[in-house]
Amino acid sequence: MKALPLIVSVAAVTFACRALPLLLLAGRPFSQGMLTYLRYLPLGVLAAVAAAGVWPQHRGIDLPFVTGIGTAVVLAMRTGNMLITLLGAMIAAAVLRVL
Amino acid sequence: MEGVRDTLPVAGVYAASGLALGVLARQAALGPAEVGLMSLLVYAGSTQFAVVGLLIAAAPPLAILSTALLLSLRSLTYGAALAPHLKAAPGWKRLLLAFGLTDEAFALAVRRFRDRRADLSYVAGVIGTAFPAWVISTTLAAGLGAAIPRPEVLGLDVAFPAIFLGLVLPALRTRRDWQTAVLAAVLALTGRLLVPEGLALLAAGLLAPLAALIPGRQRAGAPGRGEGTHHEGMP
Repeated sequence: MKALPLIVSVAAVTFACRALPLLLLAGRPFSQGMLTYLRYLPLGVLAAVAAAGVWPQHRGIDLPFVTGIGTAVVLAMRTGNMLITLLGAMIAAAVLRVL
Repeated sequence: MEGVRDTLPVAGVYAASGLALGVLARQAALGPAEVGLMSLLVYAGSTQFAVVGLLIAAAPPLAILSTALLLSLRSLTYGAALAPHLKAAPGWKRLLLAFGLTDEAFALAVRRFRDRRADLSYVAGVIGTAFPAWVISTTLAAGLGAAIPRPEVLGLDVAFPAIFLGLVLPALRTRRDWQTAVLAAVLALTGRLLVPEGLALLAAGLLAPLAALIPGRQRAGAPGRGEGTHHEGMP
């Protein structure tokens, strides 16, 4: 298995990034300002990830993709249900691709 | 069980994405055993896709490792955001949580922790549902290969952004929520024109919430709409 050293190295890097804050920061007292910051941190990170996914950098965007994203936005705002949002978006994109 | 139930849509997408990764991995001359091992140990979709893509491009190992690090940097913010909720959790439970801390697991966990106290059994349900879906689908696809249709035909290319839109948009309840989210999106999209995308996402995620520390303006005697409620910020 030639790729084994690479797989193990990538796994170590990935796990370290995930584990270090949980090990080092849990149990530490935080100021009110830091608590406020950490409260909005998830929204900031997830919004950044969502934006990058909505506008992929290295891939073309076609009408089915735009339609799927638009469907996701409408369903997310109206239903607040992730499953409905996901299925609606995928069906909209898939239908347009077939047509 | 609630963790399992809430994760089923994610597990479905993981399974479909895993099929795509497994098919792609064949181009990198990775067999089912190597793909399965990578999914077992790494368990990070974007990182694994990047690794496989770079292997296909015959990139040197150091470049692959650097890319994996850049893509994983945003996980630092996940752990930081969850840390205040995990003061009472023993170290080994935090390590297990850390292993399964994908984008989606983080989003579900933080939503749960905001509504109730830190519920590690919920997170166990999340990881216990999503992780097998990923490992099995990637390994299976690496073995089946060409029999699997292109992911775009199934609308899979919109699945990842749709999940995150489904998580982020309903969480935007106050003006501060919108400010943080819009600022993060703008910073991410413009930042990646200047630096690698992983770094741009990390920077955007770290910088946007700073706007929440700026004191907001309010009319005298009138509380801001939604401000100070239980659900201020992320759900």
